[in-house]
Amino acid sequence: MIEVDEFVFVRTFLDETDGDARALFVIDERDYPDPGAAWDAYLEAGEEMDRMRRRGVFDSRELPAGSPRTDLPTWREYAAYGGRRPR
Amino acid sequence: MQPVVERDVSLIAAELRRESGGPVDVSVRAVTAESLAERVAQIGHREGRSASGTDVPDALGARITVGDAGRLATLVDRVRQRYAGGPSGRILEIDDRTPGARGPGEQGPGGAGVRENTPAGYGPGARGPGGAGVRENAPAGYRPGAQGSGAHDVRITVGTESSGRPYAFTLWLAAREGGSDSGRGAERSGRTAAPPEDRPPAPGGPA
Repeated sequence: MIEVDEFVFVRTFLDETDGDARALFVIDERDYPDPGAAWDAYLEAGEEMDRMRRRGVFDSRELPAGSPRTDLPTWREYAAYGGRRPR
Repeated sequence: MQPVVERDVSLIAAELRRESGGPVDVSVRAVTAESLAERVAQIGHREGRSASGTDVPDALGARITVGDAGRLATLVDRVRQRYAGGPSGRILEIDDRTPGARGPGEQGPGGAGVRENTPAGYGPGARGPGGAGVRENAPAGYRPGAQGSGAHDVRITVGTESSGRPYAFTLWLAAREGGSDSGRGAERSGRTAAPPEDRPPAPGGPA
């Protein structure tokens, strides 16, 4: 259980394959049972982006656990829907 | 390397929050393998030599932003202590872009600040950003200048090892007050990778 006064890492993938950076998905530690599980998802996402030969950056931010969430797809959603946003 | 860097900057930030009570923002950026390969190839082509990942120290970078120049001075000291040697790594270069920074090193880009190069002894291919050589020890009692306006950024390149291979990463230490954006903009214009930014990434739709 994450307390609101704690900090969490939120990792966003910024795709630069086609030029300008575009945020594709997010890996938010609050979506996982512990930071280790979030890190495993991050490694999986990184390997997949490498396999797809994507140019880009993973941007990791340490945020207060009570901060608002982004409306970007999660990595799970992105992976499950082949890069299309679920509706 | 990234888990180690994230852990380090997170610990440093937690210490500063506990001691000063002020906000401390932390972000870390890591490029994909494809981006890294592209940058290594660009360096090799441009400089006519065989380049490697150690030539791209900003492929992995962290940014710690504090509220003012006083806290920035504390932060810089903390980072210098942490990377003075030992398993966490060692400082390869300090590029001080704060106003009034003066020291035995050469002038930083744009004539602002000072660049210090610390001893190498770090293995082949370990070079400072821009191919700068390694010349002398950083002076003790370092304090970034805190007066006046202009950039309030200090960039520190740290060398370390993982699985017996040398790596380098860059720490951007910044203060919000005093126009830190001006220094970051100058840095961004001349480099292949931008430092982690203060603001969150802009939302964008998936492909």
